[in-house]
Amino acid sequence: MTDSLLSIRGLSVEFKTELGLVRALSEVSFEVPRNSVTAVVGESGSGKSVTSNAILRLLPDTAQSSGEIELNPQDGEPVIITSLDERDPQMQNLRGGLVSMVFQEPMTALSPVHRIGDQVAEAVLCHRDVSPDVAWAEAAAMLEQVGLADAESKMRMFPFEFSGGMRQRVVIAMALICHPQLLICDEPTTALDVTIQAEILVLIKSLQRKLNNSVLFITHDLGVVAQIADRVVVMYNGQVMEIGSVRQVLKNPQHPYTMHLLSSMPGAATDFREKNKNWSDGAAIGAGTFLVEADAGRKIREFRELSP
Amino acid sequence: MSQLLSVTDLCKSFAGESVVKSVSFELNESSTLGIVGESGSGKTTLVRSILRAIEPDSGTVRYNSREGWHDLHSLSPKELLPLRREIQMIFQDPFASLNPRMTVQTILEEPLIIHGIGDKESRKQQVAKMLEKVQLDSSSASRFPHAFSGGQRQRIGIARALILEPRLVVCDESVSALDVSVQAQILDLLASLQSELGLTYLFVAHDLRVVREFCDDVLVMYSGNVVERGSVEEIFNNPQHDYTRLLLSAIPSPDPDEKLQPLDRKSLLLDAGLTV
Amino acid sequence: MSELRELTPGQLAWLKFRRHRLAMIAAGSLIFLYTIAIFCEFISPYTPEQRNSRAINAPPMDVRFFDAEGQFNFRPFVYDLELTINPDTWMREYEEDASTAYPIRFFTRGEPYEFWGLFEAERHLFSVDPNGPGYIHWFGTDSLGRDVFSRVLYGARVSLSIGVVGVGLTLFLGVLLGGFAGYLGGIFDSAVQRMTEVLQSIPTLPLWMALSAALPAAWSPITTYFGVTIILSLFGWTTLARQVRGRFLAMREEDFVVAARLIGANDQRVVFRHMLPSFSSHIITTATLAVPAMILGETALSFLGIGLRAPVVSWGVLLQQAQNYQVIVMTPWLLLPGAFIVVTVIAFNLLGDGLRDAADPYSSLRQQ
Ligand SMILES: Nc1ncnc2c1ncn2[C@@H]1O[C@H](COP(=O)(O)OP(=O)(O)OP(=O)(O)O)[C@@H](O)[C@H]1O
Ligand SMILES: Nc1ncnc2c1ncn2[C@@H]1O[C@H](COP(=O)(O)OP(=O)(O)OP(=O)(O)O)[C@@H](O)[C@H]1O
Ligand SMILES: [Mg+2]
Ligand SMILES: [Mg+2]
Repeated sequence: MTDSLLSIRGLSVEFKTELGLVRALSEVSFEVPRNSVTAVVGESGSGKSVTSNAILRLLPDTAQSSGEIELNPQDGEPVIITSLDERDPQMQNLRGGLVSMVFQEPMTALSPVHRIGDQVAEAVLCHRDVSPDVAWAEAAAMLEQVGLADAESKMRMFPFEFSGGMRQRVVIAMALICHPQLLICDEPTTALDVTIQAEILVLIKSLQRKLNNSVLFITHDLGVVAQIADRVVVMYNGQVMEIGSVRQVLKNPQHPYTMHLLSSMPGAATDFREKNKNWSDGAAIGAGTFLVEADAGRKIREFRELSP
Repeated sequence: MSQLLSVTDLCKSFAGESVVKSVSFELNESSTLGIVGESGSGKTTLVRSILRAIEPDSGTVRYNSREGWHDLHSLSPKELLPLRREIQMIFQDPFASLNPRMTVQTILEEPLIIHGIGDKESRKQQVAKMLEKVQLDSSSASRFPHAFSGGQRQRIGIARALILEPRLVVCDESVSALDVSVQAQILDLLASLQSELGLTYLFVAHDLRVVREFCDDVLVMYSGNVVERGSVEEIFNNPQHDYTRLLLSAIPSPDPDEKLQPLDRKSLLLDAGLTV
Repeated sequence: MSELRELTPGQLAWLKFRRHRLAMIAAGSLIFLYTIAIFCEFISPYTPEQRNSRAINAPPMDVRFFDAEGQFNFRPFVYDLELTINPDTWMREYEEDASTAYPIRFFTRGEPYEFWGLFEAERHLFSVDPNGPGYIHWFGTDSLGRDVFSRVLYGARVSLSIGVVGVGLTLFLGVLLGGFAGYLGGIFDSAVQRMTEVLQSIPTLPLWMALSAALPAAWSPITTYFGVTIILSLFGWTTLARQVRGRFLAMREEDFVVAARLIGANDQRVVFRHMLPSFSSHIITTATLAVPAMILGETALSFLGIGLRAPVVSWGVLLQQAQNYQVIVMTPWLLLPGAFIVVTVIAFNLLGDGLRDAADPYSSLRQQ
C-alpha cells in the first residue's frame, strides 16, 4: 500500500469537435496523498475540470483519454479507474461511495421539488442497505456537522428556502454522508459571496481534519489555495507546471508561470509584479497550440489543432 | 477637485421590495469610488439607475457636465443624448456585452455614428487610435467578437466606452469574470487610461482585494443601504461598521501563514441590527 | 487554428450546418423540388389538361436502356402499351409491347404552353417523337388520360409556393405583432396576448372549413389561391408572435442591448440593428418548421374539397381526385402526389433541425 490515495499518471485527454481534435490535457501526473487537501489551481481552460471529471469518468463521449488513474482505498484492493468499464459495479461503488464530488453551482445539484432531508437521506439509501429512518437520522447528524443549526426542522424545507451558503452546505453534506475517502470540490465557492466562501472554506478544512479523508480542491484563486491546501498543483494549458507544498509554491515559487500568477494577485508587491508582468509561455507549450497573450479568458475555448 | 456626480436619497424597489434604500453620495472628478457589498445588495440597481438604464422611484442624480449641473432624471431622451457621451459603462460579462453579429469596427464606430461625429474616414482613424489605446492590434477591427479571448473582449468593451471621450465611466464588476492575470492587465489599462484622460470611475466589485488596489474611496452596501463610506485606508485599516469588518475578515490571504478567521456572520449582523 | 478566428458568424453557422448530414440531404432535395416546381411547364412532357384517349388509367411506364434482347441502347426508350379489355371484369389492362419502342428525345416540340404565363413556348425537356404515335407516361395516367407526372409537377408549383407565401405572411404578422408587443409592452402587449390565446384555443380545422366555405365559388383560381393562403396564415402567426415577444422581452435586458441604449441608440436602432439580427436565425428556423404545416393545411383543405379546386392543380387537388377506394386497388399510381407531400414535409423538418443547430454558431465555442 502506497501512501497516496490517488495517483494520476500521464493523463492526456482530447476532445473531438467540429473543428478538429482539441487537446485538453497532456501528460498530467500528480498524486493526492492521504489525509490532506490537494489544490489544483490554474486559469480558466487550463484543464482543472477535465482532470476532476476524468477521475469520476464523467467526460463526454467525444473525449478520448489515455494514461492511468489509480485509487488506493484505505482497506481494499487498488482500483485502476481508467480501465474500469462504465457499467462496472465497481464504478457505481466508486461514485458517491469512495469518491464524491461537490460542484460549483449549488442550486443545480439539488432537486427543487424535493425536501432537503429526503435528498440527503436518498444519498445514504443509494449506497447502503439501511432503513429510511436510519438514513434520515444519519442525514440529520451530517447536516448538523456541516453547521446547519436545527437540522431536523430544516430538513423539511425546500432548496429555494435556503440561502446560497446553506445550499452549498447541503451539497457538501450529501457528498460526505457516505464517508468518501476522496472528496472532489470543483470551485465550490465561486458562486458564493466572500463571507460565505470563508465559512465554507473553514468548514471543508475542519471536516477534512475530523473525518480524516482527502480533498481534491479545484480553484483559480490563490488566496483560497493558501487557506485550504496542504499541497498545490499548478496547471496551465492542460499541463502541470509546478507541484509542491503550499508554503513552497506560494512563498518560493519555482516555475515562472506560478510567479506570474502570484504577481497578478491583487495586492501583490509592485516590484514583484513588474518583474513577472509579462510571462511568456515560451517553449513550455507544445507545438500546434495557440494562445493569445497569457490569457485564456473565462469560458473561451481555444481550439488547438493538434499538429499531425 | 470639483464634484462630478451627486446622488441624493435614491430609492428603487422591484415589486414592492426595496432594493436601493435612500442612497446618497458624491463623487469627485478624476477619482475612483469603489462600491462593495454582497450579492443582491443593490449595487447593479444603484449604478444602472444613475445611468438611467433603470428609472428609480425617487431621489435625484445630479451630474456636473461640461455645460453645468443637470438633474439626469428630469431630462427628456433628446436632452439626455449629449450627456450619454460623458457617462459610459463597462459591463461585467465580456461575452454578453458585445453584439456577436457585428465586427469590432462596427461596434466601435456605432457610438460615433449615433452622435454624428466625423465622417467615414475620420471615424476609421478614431477606431484605429482607440484600438491602439487599449492595446489591441489594428487588424482586430475586421473581426467578430467570438474571435477574441475574454480579456481581449473586455478591451473592446473598454474601447467602446471610451471612444466618446466620457468623463465618468461606470464599471459594474468589469473585471470579476476574468482570470487573475487578465484582471491585472485590465486594471493596469484602466489605471493608465485614468491618468492619461483624467477619467472618473465608479467601480462596482465584490473582490475587496481589487478594490483596495484600485480605488481611492469605498462605499460599502448592505441590503440596499450604504453602511459605510470612506477612503480605502480608513475602510481597510479602521473599519467602523460590523458588516465591513465581516467582509474584511473573509478575505483569504495568499499567505498560508495568515489563517482565515471569518467573524461570525449571524451574531455580528444581528448585533448591528441588520436583518440576515 | 488561426483561421477559426477569422470566420464570420455566417461561416461558423455554415460549418455547423454542413455537419448535419440529413439536413444537407434535405436541403438538396428541397432545392431539387423547388427547381422542378419553378420550371414545371418546361420539364413536364405534357400540359396538365392534355388528354391521351389511347391511355386511360394507364400504369406507369418503365424507362429502359436494355431492350428485350438485352442489348444496351444509349438512348433510353419506352415500349408501346397494348390495351386489352379483360373479358371477365371489363377492365382495361395494359401490357408492354416489346416490338414497338419509342426512343426518348430531348428538347422536343410539344403542346404549346405559356411559361409563367409570360411568354409562349412549345419546347419540353423530354418526350417521345411528337409526330409519331408514341407517348410517355412515366407516372401513368388518370381516368381522363392525363399525364400524372406532368400534373404532379404543376401541382408542386402550387403546393410548394403556398407553403412559402403563407409562411412569409405568417412571419410578417408574427414578427410585427410579437415584436411590438414585446418592445412596447403595456396595453398593446395584453391585447396581442389575448388575441393569440383566443386564436390558439379555436380548433383549426372547423374554422378553416368555415372560412373556406365563405370563399365565393366564383373567384378565379388565383384569387382562391391567395384566399386560402391568407386563411392558413391568419392562424399560423400566433405561435411565432409569442416566440418573438418572448425573445424581445428577454433580449431587452441583454447586456449588449443595454450597451446600445447607453451609447444613445434610439428604439429604432436598438430594434433593427441589434435585436432583430440577433434572432434572425431563430426566426428562419421557426419559419422553416412552419412550412410543412402550411403545405399540409393546403392539402387538407383541398382534399376536403373546400380549398383549391380544379382546374387548379395542387397536390391536395390531385389527391382529392384520387379519393376513392378503387384507386388504391386499380390505379395506385394516382396516389403518387402523396409521396411527394411526405418527402417535402420530412425534408422541411430535417432542414429545420439542421438550421436550429446551426443557428447558434457559438454554442460549440462556449459550451458548459
Ligand atoms: N466537452 C468538451 N468538448 C471540447 N473541448 C472541451 C470540452 N470540455 C473541455 N474542453 C476543453 O478542455 C479545456 C479545459 O477545460 P476545463 O473545463 O477543464 O477548464 P477549467 O480549468 O476547469 O476552466 P474553468 O476555470 O473555466 O472551469 C478547455 O480549453 C476546453 O477547450
Ligand atoms: N429587473 C428586476 N426585477 C426584479 N427584481 C430585480 C431586478 N433587478 C434586480 N432585482 C433584485 O434586486 C436585488 C438587488 O439586485 P442587484 O443586481 O442590484 O444586486 P447586486 O448588488 O448588483 O448583486 P450582484 O453582486 O449579484 O451583482 C436582488 O434581490 C434582485 O433580485
Ligand atoms: Mg472548470
Ligand atoms: Mg450586480
